[in-house]
Amino acid sequence: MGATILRSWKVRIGLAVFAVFALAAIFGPWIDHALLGRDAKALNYLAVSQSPNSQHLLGTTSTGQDVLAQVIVGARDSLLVGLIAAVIGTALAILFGVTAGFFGRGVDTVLNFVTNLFIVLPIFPLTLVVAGYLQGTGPVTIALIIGVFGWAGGARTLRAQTMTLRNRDFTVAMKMLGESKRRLIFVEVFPQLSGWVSAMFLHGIIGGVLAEAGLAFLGISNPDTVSWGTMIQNAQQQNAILNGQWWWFVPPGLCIAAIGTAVGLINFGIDEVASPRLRSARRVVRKRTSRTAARTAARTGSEAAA
Amino acid sequence: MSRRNFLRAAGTAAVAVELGGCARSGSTSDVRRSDTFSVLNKDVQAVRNYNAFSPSNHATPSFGLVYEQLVRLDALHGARIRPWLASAWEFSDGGRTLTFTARRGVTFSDGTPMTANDIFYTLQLPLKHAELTPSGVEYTGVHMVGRDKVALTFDEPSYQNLVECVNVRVVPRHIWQHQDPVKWTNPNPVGTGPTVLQGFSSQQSTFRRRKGYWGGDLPMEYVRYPCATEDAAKLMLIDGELDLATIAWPGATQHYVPKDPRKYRYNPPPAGGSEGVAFNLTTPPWNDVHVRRAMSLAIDRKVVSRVMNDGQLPMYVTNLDDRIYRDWIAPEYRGKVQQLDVAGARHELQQAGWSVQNGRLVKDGRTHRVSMRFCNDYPAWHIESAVLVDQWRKHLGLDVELIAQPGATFFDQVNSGHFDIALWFCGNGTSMYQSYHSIMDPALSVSAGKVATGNPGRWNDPATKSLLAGMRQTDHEPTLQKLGHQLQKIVVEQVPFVPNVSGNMWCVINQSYWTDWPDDRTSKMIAADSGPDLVLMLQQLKRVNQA
Repeated sequence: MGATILRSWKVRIGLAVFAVFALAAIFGPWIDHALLGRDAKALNYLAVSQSPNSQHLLGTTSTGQDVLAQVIVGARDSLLVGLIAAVIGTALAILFGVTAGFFGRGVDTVLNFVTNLFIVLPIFPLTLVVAGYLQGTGPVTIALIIGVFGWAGGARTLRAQTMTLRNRDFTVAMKMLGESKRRLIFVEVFPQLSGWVSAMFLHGIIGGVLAEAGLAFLGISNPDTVSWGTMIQNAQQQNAILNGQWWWFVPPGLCIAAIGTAVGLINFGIDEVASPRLRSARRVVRKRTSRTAARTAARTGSEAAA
Repeated sequence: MSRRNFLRAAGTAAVAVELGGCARSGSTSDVRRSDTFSVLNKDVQAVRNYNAFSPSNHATPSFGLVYEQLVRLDALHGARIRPWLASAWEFSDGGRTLTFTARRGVTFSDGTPMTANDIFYTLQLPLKHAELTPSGVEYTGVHMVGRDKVALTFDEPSYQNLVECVNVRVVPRHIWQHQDPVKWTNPNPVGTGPTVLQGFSSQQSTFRRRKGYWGGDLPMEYVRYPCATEDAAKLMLIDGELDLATIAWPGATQHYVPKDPRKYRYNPPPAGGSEGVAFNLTTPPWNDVHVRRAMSLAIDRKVVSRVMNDGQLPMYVTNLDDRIYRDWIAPEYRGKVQQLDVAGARHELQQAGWSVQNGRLVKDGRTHRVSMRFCNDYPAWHIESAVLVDQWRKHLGLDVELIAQPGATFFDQVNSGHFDIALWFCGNGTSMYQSYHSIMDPALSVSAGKVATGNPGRWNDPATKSLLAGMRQTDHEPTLQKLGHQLQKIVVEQVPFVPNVSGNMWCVINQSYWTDWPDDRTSKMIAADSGPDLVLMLQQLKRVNQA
């Protein structure tokens, strides 16, 4: 399957962009120290509010922090929040959705009740309240909050899908043969859901990155952490727009947009693999098909002539 | 979001904007901007609550314009007390009795004359309803003396408590006695001030000038308070929608004033106290004077002030601003600011057996991770705390963890003693006594967990306690000075808290419509958004002739 996915240019570009950010996330502090020779948090009182120049390629903040160094280091917390939130959110969605859909009856009633409860909860204000209550909210805490409050919609989708798969011929047949429930779930039902789950996961990543930025923008973050969200928040708080310091908020904003695009592109590719109908529309396939058709037509034509 | 939902949401938003616009213009469409004085209301959740005693954070502004106080604090001139609704006052019985004389010729906005009876009624309300003043009042009795005098009685000599009366707002007895002062929101306030409430919406309240104000009519017909966040207020100041906002503006001298120096002004005068660092003095390492000194010595206050760039200057060692308290400060400390002294700071730590390892304070195998709380409602405090942390990292190798908290929880948390160190308002401009009383009077110390009304670090020095008690027992200036000098010595040598940069009386001004603003050196009053200083300032302003 891996090779099939990589055949799409969208996936290749998406993965490449994502890889760049992943590298920044993993080696960010090292890159800052070794290549730029800077600490993202260090204040430089002699270089306050500078526009981009040869010393500071993306300029400096109003306390003299290097924006480029912050963008690189900021990738770590932003992506970390995105990944952890996506893992938690997707796992909970699978746990609740698939279990409820497969077992039905009482189990479904209980799990579906919980799911519905989380759907109607006013998630955003609740997130604010919880995040405000937990002081010194680091990236992991923020990710936990986002993940725990953000799984319910996905669970409903998976439940509905599982319910249809449960009664399909191939599942019923295997059930009649006496397959164990665990095997039915993991071998018959779950693989059919992989497209949904991967889309959900990728959506969860960008959702997490955006939610982190949103919470940071509203002032809910640890003042010690540097993420794209806290960068935008600091810029807003210190009037970067009013003062014309565009270099302070545009780079982190673009990074968030780039991550969103990358994840979207990867998702297109996975969609095509998971859903054969999309794949058939691909140009390569179309070309191949039309060539075969032409050849067949030519052969029939010559046969008819003979 | 589907397209239909999106369109619906967008439509709703547009209607909401429209309505908001209507509401705003509806109340002022017949009012010329040049007839209006516009000042920022920083409370963006305005509630129609004009109860002068309401402890709620969301009571709308009326102080000065509707309700007035007994006495006025002259913040620019050594924090002296001046007459306002009380024309005179006198201490007797060794400072245990304070008698006010009611000013003659003052009327409420419904035409009723204000008498000593109203003052009596006002002053006894907090005694009857303790819940109206959470921090309590110092006096224990109120009595009428003759027809035009009211006396407060205290259990102990209380010469230093006059300044508390700065916050008393006199209400009309004939209206209030029919209401429950604890629950009443007083939607249509009647007071002695120069205006009456004209209109209220959650976006803005408008006051209209009234005839017959005892201090003389205001030059403008309307005073309005639009509600906005600090960020929005800055745009409104640039646009001329606001004449005055009492906010800090880092970088205003670069990004605001130069846009048009004839229009835009930013020159906040000192408030008397400082923004500094409070320690939790009950536990190590902060109960060790050497560690406190080291923290103070490792700050380059000039750098802090320069990076903040909002007019806050390095604070003087005594925590009394020389520009206000000059006559009160011991000669050896006048004009003195603690300079950066890295070697000195390290020496202090060494002397007491402390070292810094991996960013933490270590002594006898015990490690301490320093964490500093600050209130994240103030944009300037983000910069100030970041610079402080940077200084300690650079000069001592100390890693200080920052904890940002909203004001709703920050002040109670620190006052209840649950903190390590905190960025804090230290001292004030109300008097030398009040300044030290509020930040370090052991008499205010309560056990950890209880919310104190001052002295959050729980400073427990007997000498401080007796000096402050001594000040309460006299109004003899030379004695007060002598006691004050000894207190200053304690502040400088024992460092119960660290004065960092000056606290300022914030004001950002746009003089497109009004001119003759108070100049910080020669004027009688400060530029204020409430209280007697607002009234004095409004009376002095002159209309700018618009072309």
